[in-house]
Amino acid sequence: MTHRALGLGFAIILCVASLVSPRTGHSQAQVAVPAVMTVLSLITITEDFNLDFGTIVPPSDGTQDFVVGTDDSIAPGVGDGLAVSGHSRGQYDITGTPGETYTLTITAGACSDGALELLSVVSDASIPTILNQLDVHIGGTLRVGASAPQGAHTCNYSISAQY
Amino acid sequence: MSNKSVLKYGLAGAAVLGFAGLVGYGANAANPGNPADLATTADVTIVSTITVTQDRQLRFGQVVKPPTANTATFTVAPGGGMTVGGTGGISNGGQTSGEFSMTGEVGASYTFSTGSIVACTTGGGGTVAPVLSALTDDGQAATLNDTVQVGATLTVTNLTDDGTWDCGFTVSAVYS
Repeated sequence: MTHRALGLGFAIILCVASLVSPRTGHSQAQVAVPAVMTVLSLITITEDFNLDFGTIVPPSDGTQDFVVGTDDSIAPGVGDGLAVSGHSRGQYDITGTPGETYTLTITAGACSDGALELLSVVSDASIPTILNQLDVHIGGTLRVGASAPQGAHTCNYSISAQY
Repeated sequence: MSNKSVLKYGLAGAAVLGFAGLVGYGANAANPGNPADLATTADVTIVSTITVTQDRQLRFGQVVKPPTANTATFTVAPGGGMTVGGTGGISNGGQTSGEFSMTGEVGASYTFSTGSIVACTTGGGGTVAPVLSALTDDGQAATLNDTVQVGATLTVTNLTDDGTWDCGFTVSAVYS
């Protein structure tokens, strides 16, 4: 028996005890007290695939912002750098108790090289955010410096969902 | 109901409500405030720009122009062979196709193209120049690192000034 059930039981006992104090001539009264609670399922975030900016040629000078949209587009921004191929928006499923609202927080983190900066990460989650939401898409803006070294790099980001 | 009985009932009601409040708090506390957190990464691959290097110059070798009012064409194929067209022209050999190498992200696809042609010039003072046209490449699979051979056609008339002529053209390679 849970604490909540114990409490309710205790409440009921008290109620009955006070009413049965011997007083002649007084009728008993009973009050039905419902215990109200809402049981929710844990929220689960499942990654179908992560955000990928693909293959990029850095600008010859300065920096250039590359934007992957939640619609899976890519915009290379101002500069002579190139978005060559292979970009992809991220996709996630956010599940819990259907119909419940939740708060979605997305945070951009650090990249594996100082010449790269993940400026922002956004989603196309429906507003208000109501569970269950499948195929939530993630886009972002990556700033690439001219000195970005060749090779594979990563930038951290996190997704948090809370009732 | 007497005052006493009312008071008693009130206390009982208060007690019940109090515990009901506790029960309520327990239900709220049981409402998950868990944040579900997912930490992940975005990927990116940085590659260098494509570099085009001329490994071999396109040459028409030695050509003899038509002796009379005629037009001759000399076509160097990407493979290096020479085809003489028109009337009266003679090739004395020495031709080579041009060859260019592209470097960048190994295995990446790119598009190679020949571009604008610069009018032929000579240091010998001639003014009637041959005409370069019909640039063509060997159509090899365009994946880095790769080489491409280029040919073209040179048009010469009997009026073309003798001498060594340089005819410029551009090639480009773009990631695709």
